[in-house]
Amino acid sequence: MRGKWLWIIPVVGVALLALSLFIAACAPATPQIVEVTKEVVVEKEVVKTVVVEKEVPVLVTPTPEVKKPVKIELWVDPRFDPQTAKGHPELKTALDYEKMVANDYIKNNPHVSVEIQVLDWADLPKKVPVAIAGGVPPDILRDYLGRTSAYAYEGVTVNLEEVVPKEELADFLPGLLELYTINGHLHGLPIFYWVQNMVVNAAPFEKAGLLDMLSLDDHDWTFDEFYAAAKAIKEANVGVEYPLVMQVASEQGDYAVHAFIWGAGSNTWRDDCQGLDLDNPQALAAMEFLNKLYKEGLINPDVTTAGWQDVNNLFYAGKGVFMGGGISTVNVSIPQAQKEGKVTAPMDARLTLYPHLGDKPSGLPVGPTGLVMFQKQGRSDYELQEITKFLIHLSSEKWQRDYCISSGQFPTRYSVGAPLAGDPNYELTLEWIKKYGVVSMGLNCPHYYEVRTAMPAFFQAMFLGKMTPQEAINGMMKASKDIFGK
Amino acid sequence: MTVLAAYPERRRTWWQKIWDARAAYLFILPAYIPFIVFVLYPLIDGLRLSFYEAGVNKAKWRFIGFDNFVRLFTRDDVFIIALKNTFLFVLIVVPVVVVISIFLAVIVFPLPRAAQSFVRMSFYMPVVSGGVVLAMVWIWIFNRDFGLLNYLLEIAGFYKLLGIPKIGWLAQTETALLSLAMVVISWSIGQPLILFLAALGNISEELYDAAKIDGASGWQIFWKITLPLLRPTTLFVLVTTTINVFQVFVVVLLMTLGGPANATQTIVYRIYENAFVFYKYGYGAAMGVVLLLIVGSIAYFQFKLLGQEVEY
Amino acid sequence: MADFTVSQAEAERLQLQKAIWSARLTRLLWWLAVLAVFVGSLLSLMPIYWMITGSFKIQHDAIAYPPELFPTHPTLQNWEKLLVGMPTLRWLLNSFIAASGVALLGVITSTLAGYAFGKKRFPGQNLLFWLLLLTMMLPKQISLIPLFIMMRDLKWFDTYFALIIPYAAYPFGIFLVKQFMQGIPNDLLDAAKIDGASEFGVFWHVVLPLTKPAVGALAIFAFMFGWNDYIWQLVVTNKQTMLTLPVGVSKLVAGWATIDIGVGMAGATLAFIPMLVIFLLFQDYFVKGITVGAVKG
Repeated sequence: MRGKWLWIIPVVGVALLALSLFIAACAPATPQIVEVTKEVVVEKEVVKTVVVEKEVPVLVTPTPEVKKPVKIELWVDPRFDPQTAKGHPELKTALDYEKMVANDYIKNNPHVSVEIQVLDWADLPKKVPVAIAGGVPPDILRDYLGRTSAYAYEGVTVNLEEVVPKEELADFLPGLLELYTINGHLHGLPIFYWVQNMVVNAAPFEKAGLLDMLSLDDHDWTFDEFYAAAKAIKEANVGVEYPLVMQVASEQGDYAVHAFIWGAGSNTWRDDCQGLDLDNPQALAAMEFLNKLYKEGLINPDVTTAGWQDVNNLFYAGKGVFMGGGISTVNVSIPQAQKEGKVTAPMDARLTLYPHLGDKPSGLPVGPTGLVMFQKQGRSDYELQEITKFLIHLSSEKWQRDYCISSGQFPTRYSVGAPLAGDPNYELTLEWIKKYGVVSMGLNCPHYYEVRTAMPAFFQAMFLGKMTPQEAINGMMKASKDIFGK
Repeated sequence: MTVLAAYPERRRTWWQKIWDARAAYLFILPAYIPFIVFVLYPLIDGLRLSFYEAGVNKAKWRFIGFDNFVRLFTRDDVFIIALKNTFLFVLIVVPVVVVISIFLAVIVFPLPRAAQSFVRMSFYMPVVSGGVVLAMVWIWIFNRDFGLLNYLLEIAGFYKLLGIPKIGWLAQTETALLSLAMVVISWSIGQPLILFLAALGNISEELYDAAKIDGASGWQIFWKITLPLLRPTTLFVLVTTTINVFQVFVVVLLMTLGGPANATQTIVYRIYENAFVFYKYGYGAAMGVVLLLIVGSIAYFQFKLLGQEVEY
Repeated sequence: MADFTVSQAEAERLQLQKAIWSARLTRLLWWLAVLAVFVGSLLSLMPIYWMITGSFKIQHDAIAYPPELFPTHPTLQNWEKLLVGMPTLRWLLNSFIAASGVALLGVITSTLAGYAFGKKRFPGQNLLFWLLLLTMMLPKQISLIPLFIMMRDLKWFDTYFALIIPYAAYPFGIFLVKQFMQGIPNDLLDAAKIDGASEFGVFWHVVLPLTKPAVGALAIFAFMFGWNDYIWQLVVTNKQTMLTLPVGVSKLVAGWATIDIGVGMAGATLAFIPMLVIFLLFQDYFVKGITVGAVKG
């Protein structure tokens, strides 16, 4: 190496050292244990729904004995940023939040230590399966049903009905427990779920005097009414260019697209979970409807390549007025965007239902997150017990409620009641679920992800005019059959 | 060695040849031992899964013979499309990269050291900046309404001339692959450029001087002297660029996700999907075997083509 | 006779003129080419420019369309998020150690092996070489799980060993050195051997100095290779303090609702600095026309 450049090494080295010392000196030390010094005030409004009072038997561990230490590995997918969500502004990162929850358990169970890893939803499916196949899975994973069901089908999860006491399970909504039952076993414990509806920006409609086209009184409108409203708002020249904004570039958020199929009266997945169920006139009607909307410029032209960020941006800029979303969109995402100055058009975001072709709106898709325990060689029964207890703690009423408030999701236990009761959107969503029920996204079916990723290509081809709606349906059905090996 | 020189020239046995060359084996040992342990063995172990149905649960792996391969070619439409796309990709990208990098190297070489360094560094920067940044930049460039490319084309009257509406480069099936090819080309030039510049530096000045004295023109010098002497490096660039382009998938992952309508699906993207999204390691390994056979054959032909004077 | 001589002189003059013009044209073309090259260089630098300016943009501006070429609301908050409260500098150090380790081991093993493959003849040479080449053609995902299990058994999780040792053999590097060796005339080696140098002596004193450009290139490529290996790094590190920079930054960047582009750009810029340093350090290996000519005669 020429001497000329050698001077860079010590300079850079010293600079880095100085910087790190500076940072270390100025940054607060990350404490090992986060002292929760203030009580989280849970909004206690008048609860309209019935709170079922259950005596949850406390698992009494005979105290003064010194218990053998247990180390638990917990991997989570953070569902909210404490800085932007409601409830815990004192916490800086998702990891801090998880540590808080864990410490709440440890303070009563000092023999337990918990190692937490926070992995985002893109890294999780890379790291978890490799860890499982390599024999070093985490003890507990908190993740979305679509992925945990795949692990269950592989047979690497612990059958929770064998370790969680029945009294505990009785507190959970039976419909969700069913959803989590795979091959006859409860593979995970659902702890909260989101519900997907449509979000509409009523402001431009108000401005154009077309508010009554939106059916915001009973949220019950047909495809034709939707089409009329979309056309009208576009022609009203209030800045709306593509009323319906969505994306088919990736399979993420595909429920916003499938909502039309459900609205038309068809399922996407078969009831027996053995593949797609699109071979019917209703699904075809839905596809043709979407095609018509696109061809008439009522859907954003970059639907085949846009990312979900782009879809949000179109909505925030007022270029689109109909978008898939749920209560967290209206309660969390949009206010946050407004705070950050991203919303540049007049915004009056309302929750409503997707249109339908039949006589009433379809059921709503729900996306639950749950806790699964992985099998691990060499784990003693004692350890299994301790891990189960911790798992129950993570899904406890107290923390479910907290989580739901922070992330705008719905609880799975009766005892939690309705944490956001009093919030009109929350009430509305609950009412819809009661009235119209739930529709299956295929989350707990085998090969869910494979089928799901195969679908966007056909939507893209249809929108680009390379396939007719019927051909797209045929293509998806063939792909589904190929995947299932028929 | 002097002892052996005394013997008359006769056929040496295989063992004797090995003994003669023992120094060579010592030289390759430091590389070959880690190679066998950390590269060869895991790859073979991974490849054998192509005969298995293998998911996340090791206890459930089962041997299924050639079923994966049968399925690849009879029941997997997307794989066939991916094969076709990958081939197209390679056909477009590799020659362009090789030609451009030689061209660049020859132009830049006579320039002063500072200029050389600048050019060398700039073209390598796309590699350094990483896929995410690159993807962001190029997504902007290709944007139909605000992108740089359409902006330039519009100024140049391209669209008016052809009477077509503005093209969404990444959004249309006809142009998506081409656009990704442009990205891959821009990112692939850096390494070959560095290598060609290094190789040019190794050519003795005297050869050039002698040629000029003999009255050779610049063009002739290039064809008769420079290019042949660059042959070993060219072979290297050809083979490694081919291998790299066959493995393109980060760009696909970040820019098009294989779309639109599978127009940019590539083999390695499929392998990635099968491994990390569907957890089907056996099936992914089978694709790997197919990839290996294809690239191996192509490399073999490349060696035959350019490897002549090259002693093995 | 006079006519003939005159027209011959004319012809010669025309020839000369043609030659001058053709030389001028070539010159012009050459300069145009140089211009094109520089434009190309500037374009290639665009991602870096994007990265650096992006690290100072607030989220709203970072995703603006049309994108701003210069941040209108510059902010330090991305950098703050990146550096404060997270062991980011430790991550940087980890990446640096890992990449340097890979580069060092890679250069050593590749020059040794490349020399043998390029300049020596030994039984099984072709087979051994092609084995190397073939492994380059497979994507790393195939060997991921067996290698992972190996790390588990060796208890190398969360250690630098896991990040470096599996890359000690660098087939790409061996191939590179081998090809480069072919440009070195054999007479030099023979001369040294006749002078009584040992095998290793020939390598050390004669061959190695001549391969400096290749070594320089190899060091840079191997460093990049060891730095960018995201999936492997993700999978073998669990402890916060053992993460590498790309892995650590991704934990900051991706959230549920928004992707924090600014922090991602800041992370990428931070990663860029050591790579730039390495690049500059090894620039001087690319010296023109080394000693090849000097040994003649």
